[in-house]
This record gives sequence, C-alpha cells and structure tokens, in this order.
Amino acid sequence: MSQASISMNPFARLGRATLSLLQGFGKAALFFIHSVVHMFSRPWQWRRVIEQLYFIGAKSIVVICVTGLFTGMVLGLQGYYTLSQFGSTGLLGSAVALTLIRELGPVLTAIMIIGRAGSAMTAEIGIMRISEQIDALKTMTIDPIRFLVSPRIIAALISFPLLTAIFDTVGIFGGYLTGSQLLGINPATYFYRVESSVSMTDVAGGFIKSIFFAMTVITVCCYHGYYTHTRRDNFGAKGVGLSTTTAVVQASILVLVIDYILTSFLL
Amino acid sequence: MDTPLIQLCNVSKTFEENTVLNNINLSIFKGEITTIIGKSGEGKSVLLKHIIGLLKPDSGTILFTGKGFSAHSSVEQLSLKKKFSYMFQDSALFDSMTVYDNIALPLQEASQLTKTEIQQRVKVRMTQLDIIGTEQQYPGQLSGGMRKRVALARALVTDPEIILFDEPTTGLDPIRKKAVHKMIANYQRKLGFTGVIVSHEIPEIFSISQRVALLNEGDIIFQGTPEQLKNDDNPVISTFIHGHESSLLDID
Repeated sequence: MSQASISMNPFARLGRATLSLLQGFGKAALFFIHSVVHMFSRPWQWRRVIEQLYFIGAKSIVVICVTGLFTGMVLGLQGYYTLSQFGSTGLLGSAVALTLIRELGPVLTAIMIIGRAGSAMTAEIGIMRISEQIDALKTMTIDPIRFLVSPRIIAALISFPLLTAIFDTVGIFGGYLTGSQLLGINPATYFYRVESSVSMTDVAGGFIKSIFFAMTVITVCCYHGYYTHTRRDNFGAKGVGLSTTTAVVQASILVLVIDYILTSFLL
Repeated sequence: MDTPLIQLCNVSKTFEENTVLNNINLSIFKGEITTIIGKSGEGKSVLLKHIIGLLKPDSGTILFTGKGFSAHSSVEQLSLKKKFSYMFQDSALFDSMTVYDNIALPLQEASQLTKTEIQQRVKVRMTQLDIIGTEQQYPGQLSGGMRKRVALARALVTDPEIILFDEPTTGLDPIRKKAVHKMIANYQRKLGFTGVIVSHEIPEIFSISQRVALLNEGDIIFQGTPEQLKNDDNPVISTFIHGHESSLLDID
C-alpha cells in the first residue's frame, strides 16, 4: 500500500492518532515521575521552592479571595431562593459550606491558578526551550526537569491546599454577606449550620483533591512548555503561545475529569 | 599518533529531508584547539551539539578516549560530562537571572565551592572579559557583544577541560575580538584545555588553532594544520579561505 493511500485510510489515521495520544500520556507520565523523584534529590532547592511558593501561592491570594468571595455570594443568593421554596432557608450555611469545601473550593482554586500561574509557567519554560536555555542547563550537567519542574511541584503541593482553604473560608463569608446581611437569615443560624454540617471527612476530601490538582496542573503546564519545540503546527513565539493555550485547556479539562473520578471514590 | 580525545566516526544526521552531516570523520586531540570552518548553514553547530550530546547521530559513533559514551561507567559518564563546557552561538543566557547569577550558576549547581569562592571566581572571569559593573543587570539590558562576553565568562568559569565555542567572537568589535582570541590562547596555554571552535574569523582564528577542519556540504573535506590548509590547492578550500565571492557563487 502506498504512503498516500495509508494517509487517506481513516483506520490508519485513527490508529496513528491513538498511538500518538498514548505516546503523549506515556511521555507525560515519565516527565512527572522524573520530576517527583528529583523532589527528593540533594542538594535541596530551598531558594527555588520559596520563589515558586511566592509566585504560585502568595501572588494568587488576591485572585483567590476575590473569586472565593463572589462564588460564596452567588451561592448565598441562589441557595436562598432555592431553599426558600421549601421553607428551609436556615440550611443555607450547610449548602454553601458543603458545596465550597467538597467541590467548588478545590476546583475553582485549581482553575484560577491555571490561569494565573500555570499559563506563565508554560510560557516561561517554552521560551527557555526555544532560546536554548534548557540546552544550556544540560551542558552544565544541571538536570533541567529537576531545576525547573521539581521546585514548582513542591511549591504547588504546599500552595494548592492552603489557597483552597482561603477560598473556602472567604466563600463561606461571602455566603454570610448575601444570606444574612442582604437577605436576613440569622447569622447565628448560618454559622451554626456551617459548623454542624461540615465534617473532617469533607475537609480532608477537599484537600486530597487539591493535592491531585496541584500535581496535574504543574505537570501539564510544565510539560507543554518543556516540549514546545516538538510541536508540529508551529515554531518559535507562536509555538509557545499555542503550547500555553493547549496547557491551559488540557489542565482545566483534566481538573474537572479528576474531580469527577475522585468524588466518585470519596463519596 | 596519540588516541584522539574525541573521535567522530561516520557520523550522519538528517533533519527531515535535509542531510546535514554525511558520514563525518573527525579527530580532536587533547590539549589542542581545533577550529571548524565552513559556510553558514553547513552544520557546524550541529556538529558541536553532537559532541556534547545535545543531538544524537542517526548513524555512526562518537568516541571519547577511544570508547563510546555509553561504554563508560555511569560515574565516568558524569565526570566526562563535567569536563565539558559549551558556549552557544546565541549566548543562551538565562534571561530572568542577573549577569552574576548566570555566570555563577554552573558553580552553584554542580560544584562544592563556598559562596566566597564562587564570588571570587566569577569576579576573575568578569574582570578578564571587561564586564565588571554589570553584575546586577539582566541579559536583556546588555548589548549583543556584552551578552557574548557574559556567555564566554559562563563557559570558562568552571575551568573545564574541553570547551566547545560556537562563534565566540561574532558580533564583537575588532579590539574585543582580538582580546577574546588572545584570552582563549593564553588560557589554553596556561591550563592546556582542549578547544573546539566554530568560527568565521578567517585568517585570525588560525593563529590560535593547532588544527583546522573544513565542513562543506555535510562532509569534512579537510583536516590538518592551518599551514597545510593555506597550502592546499583544492579550489573549494582556497575559495573559502580567500573569500572569492564569484567562486563562492559557483560552488553554491
């Protein structure tokens, strides 16, 4: 069979696309394992971990607070009008707290970090790749994945749960603002329901999710930057731009898919 | 004759349809400076990247002291890698790090030196290359020539045994060009490193080279001393060395 007829054959194309997808997964898994192994290799990279903690964690606090506040406020409004149809507006505190702690807190925190820090990581590592800075690291016997990715994973494993906790707390306060201050639910009832309905299992479940999201987001974003030179559709600055878009879309979708899988195990 | 320190045996490399290296054979001897010359786009940088392992050949082998890289033990491989240093054609400086951090990085990451020792070593190299005062600047704030000198300082700071220079003086003014050539020659005499230089600075570069190789259309068409090169009557070689424009158009 000629080369042209193979490329036209839909089964051959499907097979090629499947193999390419599997190869991509394998490559990303090896990339992740390599970076995790080097999290524990000496000398410790304290300075770079602290830099990344500042970049991923500290600089995201404002965005997380604003997003958390408005998410909680919207939940307060929507929850109030839904619960009022059943005469149970007193349960608003439970509804807001459980929705935030179990689901929206970890998911929205991860998605906001993808937009703020993940995209910047892909672009930064991608530019380092196309300007031969990653090759320069290799010539100095510095492992580029250890140098660039491992500190980011450590920083994300610390930052994601903490930012999720901030998101949840601010969100619950947002629910209080609309539920109690705007719509008149007794504040004591609101906070009593928050306290009585949330168990440690819910909180732990949220944190487990945020840890999985941290590993996924950093791996996907760094991977696309690191391999930006292997893209077939474009090179140079445009290639870095496309890698950033791919990283943001893939990381966001994976967060939602992993959220579903983890929820089905945690419930 | 001694065993070459680095030996490329029938090395070939093709990028899609374009064959850049075609069964190349090249020997690099310890303690010598070998200069690779050739027209732009002939694959000189690709050849250097094969030596340092950034690119893998499609066929052929690269021997280090008579053995393939993978034939060395893992400890030997690491120590071999540490002997190398590479100066990139476009400098490849870390643009989000200061000049000082750029030069100090190989020592900070891959040596046991103290902070004070690193500072001293960086200062010596910066003084030699006339870039003192730029420590806290970023590569983007420097001129092309200064970036080149920072890259050179970074390549030399580890006192490597084998240094690969990819056009170390392109973009420098004539005075600094001579200064860099002189510095490479002095440093080589003093420490006896092995150098491989890709350069277009003909004939100036011959004064610091013990050996010259001419890469033409994917093949090494000449290897020998600069004197042998000058006396060679191959028309392609004399055209390239004397830079006859009209003849160059013919061989293109």
